[in-house]
Amino acid sequence: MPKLLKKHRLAFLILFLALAVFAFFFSRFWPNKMLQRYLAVGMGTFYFFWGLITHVKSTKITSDIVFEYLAMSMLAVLLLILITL
Amino acid sequence: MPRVRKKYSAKSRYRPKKKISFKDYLNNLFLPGKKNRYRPQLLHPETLMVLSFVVLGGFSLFNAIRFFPSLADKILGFASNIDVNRVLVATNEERARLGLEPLQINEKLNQAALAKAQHMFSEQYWAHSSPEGVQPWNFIKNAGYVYKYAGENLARDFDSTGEMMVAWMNSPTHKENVINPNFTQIGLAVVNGTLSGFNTTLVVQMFAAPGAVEFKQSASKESYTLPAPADSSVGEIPTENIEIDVVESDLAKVGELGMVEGERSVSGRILFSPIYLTKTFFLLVVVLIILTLIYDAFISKNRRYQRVVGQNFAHIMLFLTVGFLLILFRGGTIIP
Repeated sequence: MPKLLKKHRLAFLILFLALAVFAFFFSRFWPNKMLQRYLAVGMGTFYFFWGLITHVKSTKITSDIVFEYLAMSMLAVLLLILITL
Repeated sequence: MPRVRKKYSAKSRYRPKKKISFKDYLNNLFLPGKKNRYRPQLLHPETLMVLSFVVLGGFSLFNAIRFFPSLADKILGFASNIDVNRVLVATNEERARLGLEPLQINEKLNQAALAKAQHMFSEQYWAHSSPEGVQPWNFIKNAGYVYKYAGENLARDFDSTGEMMVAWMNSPTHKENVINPNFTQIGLAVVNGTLSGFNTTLVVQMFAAPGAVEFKQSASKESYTLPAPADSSVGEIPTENIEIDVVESDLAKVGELGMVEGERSVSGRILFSPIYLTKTFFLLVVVLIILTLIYDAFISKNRRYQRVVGQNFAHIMLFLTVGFLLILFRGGTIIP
């Protein structure tokens, strides 16, 4: 794991910052649930493209990986949207 | 003598079925190996999609309880622990921070607040103005209160008074009402009921400053057109003599401080709050995924599997964030 972190240091830093910013604004926007939903969709979209770009840069990408990131993003977004309903 | 191998056609009813034990099933689900292409089945995109449907199904099931009112009352109860006395104290504390005079409870405003809450339940809407155009000011007027300034704050489904006050103070328009120096009196109502099929606790705050007019308790049909307020929840009328209809409400239950508290839940106590039930279910899903990702990373590293899959660490970061937000998530809605 440390080797992986070292290799993709910048990518993980970007992801960490993006998730931290997202978490901050998601809490800050409460109780405006509509804004929270938009934010959740934005976060899911970002994560999906972050995964693709990171893998494309490391020249290791397959359809399985694309679908894996898509499914992970969708599940995360679904959980956050449903909790705001 | 050569061994004869039995052959079974594809359509043979005697084709032996390979039994998968529960242990094999769990191994396949959580342990990376040859059978699942060195990735736990749970982390495969198709399984994640199935899991999404399970999440959706579980959520729908919790909400389906609302179609069985007696069951919903027994199992879910009402989610709110909001107390009218605390709402008044918290409101006046916010005003005291700015050096403003505390608001005084007014019985007519209490009646207006209760009438508004009950109107929302009976007409099934959640807004400052009803679909037929009934304004908050109409309830104040009907309670026999003549105002110079008036305002309304609404909230629903908050777990506690503190959370509700934080939400109001985070909203500029609601905060404006709470700390408006023009307001001197307040009416409060906390009412439980069913809104769009959901057990809901509505909180209504009616703020006002009395106008210098005389009341005339008559059944006069004189029209009374209130000016459209600049803000949807704040109104002002000129102080002049106006004849109004006074409607005595017999719906109020007056509490210790003369504030109105609506009917409580049937069960009298909360067995499971809907929001906590949903949160617990979702958190279980998140924990399951995180633990599977950690286990997968650990096993694949120890067994030195060479595979091309998504970044486990990134997925863990994502679901830790989701789990963190689910834990911190608070219910409650206010109208912007």
